[in-house]
Amino acid sequence: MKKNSNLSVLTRGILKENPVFILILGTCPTLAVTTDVFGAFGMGIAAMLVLICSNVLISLLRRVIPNNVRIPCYIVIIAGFVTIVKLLVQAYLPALYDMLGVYLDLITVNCIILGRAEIFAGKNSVGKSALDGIGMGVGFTLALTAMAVVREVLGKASFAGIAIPVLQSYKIGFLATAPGGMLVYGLLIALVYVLTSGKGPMKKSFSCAGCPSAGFCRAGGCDASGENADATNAKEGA
Amino acid sequence: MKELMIILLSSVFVNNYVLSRFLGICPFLGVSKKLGPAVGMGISVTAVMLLASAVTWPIQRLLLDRLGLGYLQTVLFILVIAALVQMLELMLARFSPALHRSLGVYLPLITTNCAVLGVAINNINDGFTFVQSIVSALGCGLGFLLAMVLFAGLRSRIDESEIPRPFRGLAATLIAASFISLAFMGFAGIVDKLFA
Amino acid sequence: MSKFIKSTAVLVSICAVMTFLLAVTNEITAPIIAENENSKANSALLEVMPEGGSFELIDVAEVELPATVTEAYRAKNGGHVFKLTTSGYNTGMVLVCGVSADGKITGVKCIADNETPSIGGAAIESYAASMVGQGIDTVDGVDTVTGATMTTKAYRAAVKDALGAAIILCGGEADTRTPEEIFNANLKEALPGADEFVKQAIADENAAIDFIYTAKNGAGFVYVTSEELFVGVDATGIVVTEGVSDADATLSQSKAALAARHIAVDTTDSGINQNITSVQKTPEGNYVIEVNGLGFGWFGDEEKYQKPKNIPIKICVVMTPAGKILKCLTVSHQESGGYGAVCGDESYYGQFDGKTAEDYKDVDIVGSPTYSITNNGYLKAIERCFAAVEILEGRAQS
Repeated sequence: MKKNSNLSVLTRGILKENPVFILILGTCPTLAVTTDVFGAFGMGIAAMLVLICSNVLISLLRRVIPNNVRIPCYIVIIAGFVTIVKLLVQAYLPALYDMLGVYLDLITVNCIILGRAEIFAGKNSVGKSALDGIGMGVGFTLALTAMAVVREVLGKASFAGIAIPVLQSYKIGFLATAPGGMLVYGLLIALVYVLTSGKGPMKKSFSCAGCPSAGFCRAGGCDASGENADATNAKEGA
Repeated sequence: MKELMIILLSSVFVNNYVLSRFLGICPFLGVSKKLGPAVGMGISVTAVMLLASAVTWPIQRLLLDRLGLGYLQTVLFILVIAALVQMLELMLARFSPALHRSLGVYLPLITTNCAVLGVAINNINDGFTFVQSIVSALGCGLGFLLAMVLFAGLRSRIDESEIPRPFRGLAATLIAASFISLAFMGFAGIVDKLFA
Repeated sequence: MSKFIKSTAVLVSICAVMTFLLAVTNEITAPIIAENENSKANSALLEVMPEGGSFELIDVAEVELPATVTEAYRAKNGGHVFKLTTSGYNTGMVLVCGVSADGKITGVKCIADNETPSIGGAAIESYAASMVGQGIDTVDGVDTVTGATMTTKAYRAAVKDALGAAIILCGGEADTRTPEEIFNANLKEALPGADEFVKQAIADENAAIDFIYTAKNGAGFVYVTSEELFVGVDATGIVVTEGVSDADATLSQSKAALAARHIAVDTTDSGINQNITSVQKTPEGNYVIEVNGLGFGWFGDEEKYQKPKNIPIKICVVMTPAGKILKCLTVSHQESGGYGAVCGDESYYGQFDGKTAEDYKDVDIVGSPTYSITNNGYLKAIERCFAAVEILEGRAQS
């Protein structure tokens, strides 16, 4: 498969560069809205819509937007689409709106979206950017849903709000709480590592290499402040 | 006064942005490896939260609400935050190079810190007054700082331990964060009873 | 410079385009959103009162309703629906509660809460059903859910507020306090100056009461008699609740309660006058002395008249180790009404408060000459108390 073929652009977000489990991006909504499958799926779709629209528009304007104001431009575009999606959800899916609350607004600062704008859409054609948006969006949605299935089925003994009678007396309420979310996330990351036999590039975990803000962050960002990203990565990759 | 204390303490402990509302997780995981950077990031976030709340509240109440332009909230807020961060960085570079050297590196990252936008929007959603907004921003910032500092201490231990391969790195970090969050759950139900 | 202008122009035009897009979306969605919110508000009301018909918002600013009530609606069928905000284990529990025209709960729905999902949250879901049909007299009888006591207590109190608010809106008066709040109010009434109380068990198994409620600020304690009488005892060990200090029936219980708190001092062979019936020491180091005063019929001079004609005046004196009266109280007496009976009035015995051995005789004697007999007996009793404290403190010359 060629590195930048349309197919690979589409699929890599789903597995190889899954934003949640491999790139570790968009952690806030991953933890916050995954207590319910319906909410998690809705969040994934909403983020995907924003991602596709912003990717396409940013790619269209990539020759117009001057480099020095690109971040404010990206932010305005993303925030605009977020608000549009928010208004639409509020109007047509009020149940989902109530469930997601402020996290719907916070798609604006979801690192996946700004990250894709910075890393991909600002440099690639409209078609590829759209495919990239779809791929990443699907990967995000699948990951959120997977996590929500674990947390809702085991934690609340229900699926998308519908109670599962068999499990009622075995539910582990802890999983639906905040600390439970972090625990499940940690366990799933370890599980993905095992499933991909360690080939999932864990090296990008949390250093400047995986951070979408790194592009507009001066002087090496966090790593400059006494961190040595390469050494850490080497240790983790060993 | 009592109400302000409740807002302050509950945003530090009960509704801690990082540990129970999951806002600002990225810097929490990314910059908590050592104590120094953790404190720097925490202080920077607190400062930006305070500034952002002080600016966005009047924008919402005096501008957007009066003109019926509520739908511009997100766009305007994030622009204001981005501009504020930019200005803060320039001011620091100009007037306090030492401070800029220690805190400046974190500032660009804060634009996309969801905790900052989260505070600004939550202040409006919760119907806070201006003073309450400021207090809530202070509480959220201090809560963030507290979580960062606590966690930085834990992280250095984790990084030195022999952990099974699949858990090494982020998995172990998240599980440790889960335990801190569990500890913070114990604060629920305490704060408003403190002043009852 | 041209680069700067271009950058600004691009940014501004992007802002303008996005704003335009937003405005268009808003135009389309605003009416739908408004309708959604409206029907959502109405559906919650209908859910708790299915027969309500339509609902009309009442202005609650002018009526004094319980503080938890944030919104009130009048239903077409004469009932009321209330929106209540309260704190369970955590703040921010919002209930919608329907009350029928005859003052019974038609339904309760929790529309927001921050309770622990698996504990309080689970209890909220199951608790609503047990509230249906309850009235203001019966609602306190609904048991709280074990494990989620704080949540369900707050829930129940809020429902009671709704029931009370319905009565108030119908022109009546309602006491929406929970049994705990009423109990606490009674405790505070019995012991003025106390803030909060701690319940303490009485160690003595012969005591007529099982618990005392000690004030946290050190104002004293309160015990509750079997007749549901709240008796307050202040820090010096004196019964301060009005109307109960004279009752001998409660005195025995009071003694038991005091005994649980005070240390009895053994006075045998100490040389203390026999008219002193008991001496106790409070944790603060003060002496609570019970003494019999010799009133009318004893003529003050004991040498001449040994035979009592009347029942002695029972006096309780609280004294500091230094010999200053903190509190003096006539516990019981049977002096002649209109004459010596003045000794049972606070206007009389209150004069001794703060007196020492030097100036205790400067009390105001009012009434007829016979009254002086009571007075002399009373002063003698007080004098014996001073003497007793001197002995107990080891200052007396034997």
